[in-house]
Amino acid sequence: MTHLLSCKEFLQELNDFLDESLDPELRREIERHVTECPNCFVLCDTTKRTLRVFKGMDLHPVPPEVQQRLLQALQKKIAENKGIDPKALNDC
Amino acid sequence: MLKLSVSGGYEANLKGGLNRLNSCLSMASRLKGSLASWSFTRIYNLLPLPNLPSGRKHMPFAPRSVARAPTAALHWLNGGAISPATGLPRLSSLAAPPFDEAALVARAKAGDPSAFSELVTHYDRRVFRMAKQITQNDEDAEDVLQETFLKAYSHLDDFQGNSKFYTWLVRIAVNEALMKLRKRRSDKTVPLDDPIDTGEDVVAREIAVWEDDPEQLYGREELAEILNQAVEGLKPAYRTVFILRDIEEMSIEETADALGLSISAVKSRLLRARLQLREKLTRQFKRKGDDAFAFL
Repeated sequence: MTHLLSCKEFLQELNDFLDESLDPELRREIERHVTECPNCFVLCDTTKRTLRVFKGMDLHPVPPEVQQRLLQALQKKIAENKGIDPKALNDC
Repeated sequence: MLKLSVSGGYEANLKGGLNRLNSCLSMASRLKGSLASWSFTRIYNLLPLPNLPSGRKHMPFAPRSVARAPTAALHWLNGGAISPATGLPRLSSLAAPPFDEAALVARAKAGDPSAFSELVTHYDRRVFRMAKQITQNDEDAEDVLQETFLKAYSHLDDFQGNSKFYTWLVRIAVNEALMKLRKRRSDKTVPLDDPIDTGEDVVAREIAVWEDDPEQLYGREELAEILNQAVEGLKPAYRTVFILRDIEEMSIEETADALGLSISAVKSRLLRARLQLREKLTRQFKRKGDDAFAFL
């Protein structure tokens, strides 16, 4: 006899369900639960869409000047490690 | 005067500066590797190129292409193709070598700075994005970015290779970012090791269907602002887990390793983060009017 999941059990398995890391039997139980429970259906659908909308966004590209300053800081560090006066780099 | 012809039909007259050029090449040669990249970029940006299209006084390498600059510059100087439309070298014709993290780390540990530069170029965007999302502050994110790579370079010998290099980098970045948060909120602590919760007290208060394509209702910047605010509203302990797992797409195991947490703690925090974000976005994206509860 198939075990009927409660909403609480559904919630505990929601992460693995969304990450598709559940074993097939438990997955089928979750799918059955969401077809029968409107609240959990909406919860599952909107959580899935939440993840999708975040994955689709490139929120913070690195500004070119920030990248440039990072490279300069590293060059300075590398030069110091190699015993070269970092000020000499400014002559280039 | 050094005169060069390039196949795109442009002629570049590199006037003077040869002593300066020699000095820079000498310096680049002494330092090898990444410094050569930097020096070449600096050299070619300093020299006047009068016959490039109007408004272009310097060889216009995009900042993201700094790592490719020496290759592209040599390609260009050797008569490589230049796009007539953009005045840029046809970078697509330059085959990029495959990224091999383990080999680059081994070379960097052996003292090859160009290998470390390649690691930086490969990961800087992800580290910055992560830092920005944790700190929610531009200046802090830049500091975190720099500190992360400077510390990684200084402590490269401590990296034993038990995890991926990127996971190790993330661990440094997260610690730096959380330290920034602690400094900014000097009256509070920002613990990464909050008591483990079971998720049982997670209550979904807002149950409503969304518009079919809510993302289309907002402009790109407006949507980014909504998402940023939603992430900012999470506690740092949940925010970091969400960022690593769902934005950076690290596995549960990698996230746990990077944050020094158990698998169950990561899963528990991830569930709370996801549900809280869902709750916040539902307020923005839910279907308006009577249809909002049509599923009931």
